[in-house]
Amino acid sequence: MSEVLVRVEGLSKFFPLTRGLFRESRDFIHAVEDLNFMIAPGESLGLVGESGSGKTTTGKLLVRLLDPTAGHIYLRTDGREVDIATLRKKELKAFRRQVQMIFQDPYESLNPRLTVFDTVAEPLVVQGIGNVLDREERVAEMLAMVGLTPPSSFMFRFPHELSGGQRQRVAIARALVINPTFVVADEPTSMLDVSIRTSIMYLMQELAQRLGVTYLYITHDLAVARYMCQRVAVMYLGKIVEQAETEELLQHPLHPYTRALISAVPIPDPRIKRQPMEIKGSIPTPINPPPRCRFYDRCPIATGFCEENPHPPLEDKGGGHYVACYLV
Amino acid sequence: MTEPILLVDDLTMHYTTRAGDVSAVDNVSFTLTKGESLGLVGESGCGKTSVAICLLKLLPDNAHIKGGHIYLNGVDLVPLNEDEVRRYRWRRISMIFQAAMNSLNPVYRVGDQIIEAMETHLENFSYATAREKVAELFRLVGLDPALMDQYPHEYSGGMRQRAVIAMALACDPDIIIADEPTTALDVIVQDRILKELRAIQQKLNMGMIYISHDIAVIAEVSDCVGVMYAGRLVEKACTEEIFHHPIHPYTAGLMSAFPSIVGPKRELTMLPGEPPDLLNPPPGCRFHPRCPYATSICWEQVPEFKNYGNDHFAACWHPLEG
Amino acid sequence: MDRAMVRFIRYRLLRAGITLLLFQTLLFLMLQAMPGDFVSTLIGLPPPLRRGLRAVMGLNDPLWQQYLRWMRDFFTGHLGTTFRFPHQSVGRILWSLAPRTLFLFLPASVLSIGLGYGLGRYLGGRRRPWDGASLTLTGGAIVAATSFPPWVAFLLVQIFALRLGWFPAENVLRTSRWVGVAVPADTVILWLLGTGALMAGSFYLLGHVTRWHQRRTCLRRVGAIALIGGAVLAWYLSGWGLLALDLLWHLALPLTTVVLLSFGEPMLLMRLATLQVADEDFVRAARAKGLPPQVVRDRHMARLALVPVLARFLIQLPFVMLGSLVVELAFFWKGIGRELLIAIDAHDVPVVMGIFSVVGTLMLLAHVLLDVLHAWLDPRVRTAIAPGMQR
Repeated sequence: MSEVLVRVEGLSKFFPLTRGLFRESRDFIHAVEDLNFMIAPGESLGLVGESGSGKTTTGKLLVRLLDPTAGHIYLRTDGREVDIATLRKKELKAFRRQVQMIFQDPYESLNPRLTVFDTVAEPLVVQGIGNVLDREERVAEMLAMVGLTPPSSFMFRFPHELSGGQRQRVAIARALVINPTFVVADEPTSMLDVSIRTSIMYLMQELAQRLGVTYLYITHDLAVARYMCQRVAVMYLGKIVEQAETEELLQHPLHPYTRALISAVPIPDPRIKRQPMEIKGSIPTPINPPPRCRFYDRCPIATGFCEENPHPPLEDKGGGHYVACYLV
Repeated sequence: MTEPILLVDDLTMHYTTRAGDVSAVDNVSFTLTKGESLGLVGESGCGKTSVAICLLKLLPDNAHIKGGHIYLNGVDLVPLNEDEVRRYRWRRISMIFQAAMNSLNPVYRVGDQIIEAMETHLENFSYATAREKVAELFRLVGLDPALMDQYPHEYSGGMRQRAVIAMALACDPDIIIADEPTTALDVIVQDRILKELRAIQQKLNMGMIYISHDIAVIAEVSDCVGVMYAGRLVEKACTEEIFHHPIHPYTAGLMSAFPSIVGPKRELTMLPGEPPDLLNPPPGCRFHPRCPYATSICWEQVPEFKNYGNDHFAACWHPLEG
Repeated sequence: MDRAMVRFIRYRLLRAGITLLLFQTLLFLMLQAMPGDFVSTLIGLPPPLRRGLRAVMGLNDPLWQQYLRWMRDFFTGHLGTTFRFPHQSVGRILWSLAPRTLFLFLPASVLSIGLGYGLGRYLGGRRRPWDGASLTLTGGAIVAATSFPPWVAFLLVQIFALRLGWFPAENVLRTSRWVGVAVPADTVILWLLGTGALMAGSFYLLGHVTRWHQRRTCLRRVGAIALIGGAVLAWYLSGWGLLALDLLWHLALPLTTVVLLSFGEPMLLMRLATLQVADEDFVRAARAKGLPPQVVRDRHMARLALVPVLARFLIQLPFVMLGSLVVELAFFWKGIGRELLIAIDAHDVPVVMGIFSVVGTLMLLAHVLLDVLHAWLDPRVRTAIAPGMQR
């Protein structure tokens, strides 16, 4: 087995619900529970799910914007595996040289008081890389790489002078300026117009190939995941329910939730009629969920067996196609 | 051919800002017949929402209709003042706004908010009959009628969406405008609501204008599609026709910029550049700076919105063949 | 009144009770922190007398005993014994003075916020900005001119009492009219306040019951006339009519003074809040529904805009109270304000502390009331204490 860059084992994050004036919280939101997955170097893994699935929480955990409640996140650094889940605050700075994040909202993720140059140079400053001249050179290089040319005309602009697409390019430049090995992208194109979206996706792919960056691409849009990622993991209510290579997942979805999800996506071709799978209800908030399969109350094929047994583990059904379901 | 219930003729609207006039809607013309669903598609800033608020004459203080006509059942709404227009709002043409869940006042019960619309417009109003009607509407959109006495924050996102649809139907309008009604909803809930909305529209034989930036959704919900770019309508045809034989290069570009989960994985085309600043729109055809086929006539003259046969309209100097 | 509301009120009262305990404790600690004690302020007393006095007044007892006594005094309404008149409980003194102070303070508070709400709503709801600007400027000017209590009181007395002779310049009542009258003035005052509260409640009920009625404007007008007529009739029949009129006549100028001082802030804030609410999606939706503009403004915008105004008014209340107390002095009313000054001058610590306690408790009650009003206005607040608990 080839080396793996990121390995997540048993990752969980619970949020307490405070009740009453003085009592300790007895109820927790199980945002993410017992996650296991791996990402190979240079690969793009898509994390797909609807709101409430825990995908954004997972992204934040991997970047240590949130601290895990339990579990391990192993990052291969200098040939060794380091568990970043247990890193203390002081050690996080070094960790941030390796792992960066691109956020969803290009209007909120850039500091409106910093120029483009300041924004992109900031990681360099924080990590103590190079002097002022080096930084200027590096920022110009990055701006050219993300398509903001000529760099000199963009460097001293403020975010409000840029369009959404341009801002997102700046965010990408900022994330990549220190040459991280791993980037978590949380729905970076969902707030952009369609015509811009494609160019940003193309840019990210190109950079991935050029710089050898590994992505965790979080999205709710299966079509985007298809375009951007080699492998896809589908999340539901804090757990991964299916994981496979993208084309394989889209052609032969096995988990009932994946199948429902795929059947619900509108198709931009009026001649093709799709058959949406009926599932009732909507996504609940995972407060103290019972140990059985999380999809049980909405699943169209659930049986008594599913109710009585704990949440099914992820199993390989052949060719790296993992499913968490008893009935497949 | 049936008589159109809505005829928009050369509608032009500007926003006055300190920096100057923003040309948000420019010479837009289209018709809508009874029972027809028109999808208005375009990117942000293209003017589709602006057209919608013109139809309801819900213009903010700095917006002005500079020209054109809006014939609703033969009556031109443009010269009417606020008081006169109010009688048409909701009664003849209603709207589901973007992020519709915020259309409900958090402080009043949902049922009461629907009833107040009915009270304003319907003669022979009585509280009891109004409540019955609300119950009926709730059942139609798939909500439990008992919910009408609850507050909006007690509803889930999907439920609020349905409530807002019920509210839009309260006075039996001839036309309903839906402006991106399913953003912020999960794919599965979105799918359900879209289906139900379409079913209701067809059952009640209402005209519908569905506004979205997502052509996949438009493809599923509309009989006809109008493509808007930079405040202008650049192409209009019925859905199948426009998807498989687009005439305007922007339409073609838009179609192929959408990734799809079915069919072979193809390369997505990119449209270079960005949508123009409407403060100083490009002269002539507003798409020319991004168009691969542009020639000098494109920035010298505004192309005419012509009928290419079969009610397929487009405004382009270099229409695509095939 | 739904379940969530009841739960909210219960929770709020519980919290208020705890705060009250903490507040009283804090007052006690403040008292202890002051250098010296009452006895040390009395000059010219020989030491044995001082020692004896201290023993009698319990100032030598251990701290925890003093604390318990303090708390007991407060909760029994006794509030300690005044230094000036032995065996007179502070509680009784304040109780006898309270009606007059409340007679000024309560209507003044209600009118201030009512006026502020109405004017602010009007100013904020106007669609053409230039109108709003000129009116706001005027409003602002009025606010500035009326912020100094003695000045306003002086002005009003000069114009309306002395020059025009429309209203009396001082006192709560005209003694000549009350000679030989069996009922004490305080009782009449309390009955007047009661009538006011009853009327307010009835008006609200009237509005609520006729919410959806077809001819509600007509019904409401008739109802209002009937209620007012009924109240006037009742007073006339009770034989106290003239007495009540005398009191109200004397109330006019002081009331106007306090209201002028206090209405400006709620008005400006209401205007601002209304302007902000105007951008909300549901306001646009209300217009889209074809509702007439004043319905949009009054029903949809005003109710939500009132929320921050109420919150701010709560902070303003102690100052309204302060204003009332100062105005009491200006008009020579024998209320708590005057008593406070006398007690401070005489170093009558129990009375002063007693007044602090009472005012503090009043403010706490007002806080609870305003919170409850807030929850009533905005149903989302009712469940906000435990966010994970709904549905």
